[in-house]
Amino acid sequence: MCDILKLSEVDNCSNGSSLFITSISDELDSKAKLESLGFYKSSKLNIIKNEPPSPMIIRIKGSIISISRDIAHKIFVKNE
Amino acid sequence: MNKINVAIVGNPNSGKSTLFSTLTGFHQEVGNWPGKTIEKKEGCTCFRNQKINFVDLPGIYSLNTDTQEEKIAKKFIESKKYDVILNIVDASNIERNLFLTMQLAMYTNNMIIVLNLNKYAKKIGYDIDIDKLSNKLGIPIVPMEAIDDIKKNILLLKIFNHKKKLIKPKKNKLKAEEIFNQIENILKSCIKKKDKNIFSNKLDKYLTDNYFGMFIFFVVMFFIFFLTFYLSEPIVKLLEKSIFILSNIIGSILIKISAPDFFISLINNGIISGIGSVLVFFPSIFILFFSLSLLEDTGYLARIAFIMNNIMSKLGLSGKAFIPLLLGFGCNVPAILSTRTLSKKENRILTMLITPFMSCNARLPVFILIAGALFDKGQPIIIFSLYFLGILIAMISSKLISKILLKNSSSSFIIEFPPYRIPRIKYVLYSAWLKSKDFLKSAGTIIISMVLLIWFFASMPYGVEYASENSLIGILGKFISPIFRPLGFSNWKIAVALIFGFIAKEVIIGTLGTLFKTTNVGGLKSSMSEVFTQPSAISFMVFVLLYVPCLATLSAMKKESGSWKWPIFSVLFSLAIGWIFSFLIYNIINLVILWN
Repeated sequence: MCDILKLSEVDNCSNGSSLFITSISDELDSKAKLESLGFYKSSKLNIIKNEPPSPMIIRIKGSIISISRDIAHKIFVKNE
Repeated sequence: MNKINVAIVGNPNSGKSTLFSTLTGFHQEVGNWPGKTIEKKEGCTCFRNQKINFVDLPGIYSLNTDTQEEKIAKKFIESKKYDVILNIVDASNIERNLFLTMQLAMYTNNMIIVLNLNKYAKKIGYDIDIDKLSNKLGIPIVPMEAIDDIKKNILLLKIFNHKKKLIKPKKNKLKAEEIFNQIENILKSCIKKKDKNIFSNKLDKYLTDNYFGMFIFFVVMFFIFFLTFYLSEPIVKLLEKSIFILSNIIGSILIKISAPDFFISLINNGIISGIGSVLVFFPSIFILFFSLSLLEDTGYLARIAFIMNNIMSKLGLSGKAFIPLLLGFGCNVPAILSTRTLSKKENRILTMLITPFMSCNARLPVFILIAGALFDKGQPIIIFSLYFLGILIAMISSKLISKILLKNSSSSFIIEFPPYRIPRIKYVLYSAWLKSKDFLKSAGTIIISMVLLIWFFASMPYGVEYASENSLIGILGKFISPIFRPLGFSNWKIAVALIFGFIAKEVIIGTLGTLFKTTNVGGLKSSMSEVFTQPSAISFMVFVLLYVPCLATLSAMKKESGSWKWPIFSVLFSLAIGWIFSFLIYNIINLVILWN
């Protein structure tokens, strides 16, 4: 599946498989902070937990980061 | 003797503060960066007759973004006010940690990397070739666990031997993607990773579960409150007794040397009472800072923010704001100070404004006294309802203020989940001690000044009986008391007690004791039952619950928000809310009684 999805809309059977970031919306105030944590175009991540309405839990660059859903809405990913 | 100046820089959760403590021992000073509300830690040590100064810069993920912490770190690094930078890197999280390292390398080549958490990194399957890594980065690396007291001498030796380089490295600004690609290339040849089951992740499955996670959270919180109340109460009682004995001893000495009454009153009611009002905070504050440090050190604090995020976002706040509010039930002061962890200014201020509605430990004795004096049964329900009312008003205020005043507050959050770790008790205790000491020093001055001011008002005109009807404060009390008539309690002594309660809620009971001339609980209870009716007792307790944050809290608000604007708003806001709700409740109760 090569479709581009919002990070927040990835379904749970993707838990464990890797996703790649295709873009991050410029509307996000926290874009620079996200970048310093490893969220940038072409970066790889894994979803640990995605159960709305709770925030998401993600593994990226070897660390575990939790982000609220409104931020996850503005990050776009694809499977590979 | 020349000093060597060292700055410690690193990610949050990388063990930076631990390293700082190990290097400086108990020679630490906590303060603030000039003009900012961010904590500044400095310390020093001696090595081979050379004094080494350490500055612990705030934990940061990069030098690029706009947070206060990063601005401070960047400014310090550009100022070159250091001889060496120690960049602490978490070996178990090395890929992300090196992002900051690469940025630092663009500003300076006077850097030593301290590679921490090697044992944990090995445990989770990392095998790092440190020499190769150091070569590829062009930066010396000292591998050591940050708590290692013995290995620290290797590090100190390296600092001692460091020859300061004057060549300025190139300052090319690189994009995040480019930096991470460089890191990946470097690490490819230096690290092998084996896939291992990480205990921390397994534990998270349970602790972040929607239902079980919430349950464990309540258990932890209950335990912390239990601890705070049951440990601090006897200590506070002991403090109060000691202060009482001390003032008696000093009083009798002064009488023996025929000191004037005025002077004796100044010493006892002014100075000793002032110092007492400050010390009486210490147990609660210390225990709460300890609990907070403990939660942080274990890594659980981040999970709490996660669990509470859904509820908090309905109030216009993020899960991170929950911690200060929770601490507020013990004491509002550490609660306000802990809003530091919220990244958005609007969120910090909004949280500070609603924290005072979390009924602190100090109000509880007032509730117990009044409820006990006026009601034969149902006291626990009454007191519980008061707490609940406070929470309700906090929630409504939060929604209102976030929509009208602080429109930029948001429930967005980004938080790192550090691996769970066994807490280091010695370090947690010392950290709590430093924080409490720092607070007592700054708020203490304000509180003691206010106590002296009130003492003055209670002692003038000269020769008047202390805090009597004819003293200035008695006159003030009588002047103010009509405001409370619609609330049902217009006795001037109550008004005076409320004025004293502005300094610290703990003081209300002592003041009532002085004014009603009783020294025991039984006597005070019967005085209260004469002054209040059941409806007015309830409206009084509601007023005490809501009316103003104490001076120590306001002082903390000023410290954390940087100006007096918000504490003043808080005073006016809570006074208004307190009066209005007290009025409504008093009259509704009377109507209900009339109806029946």
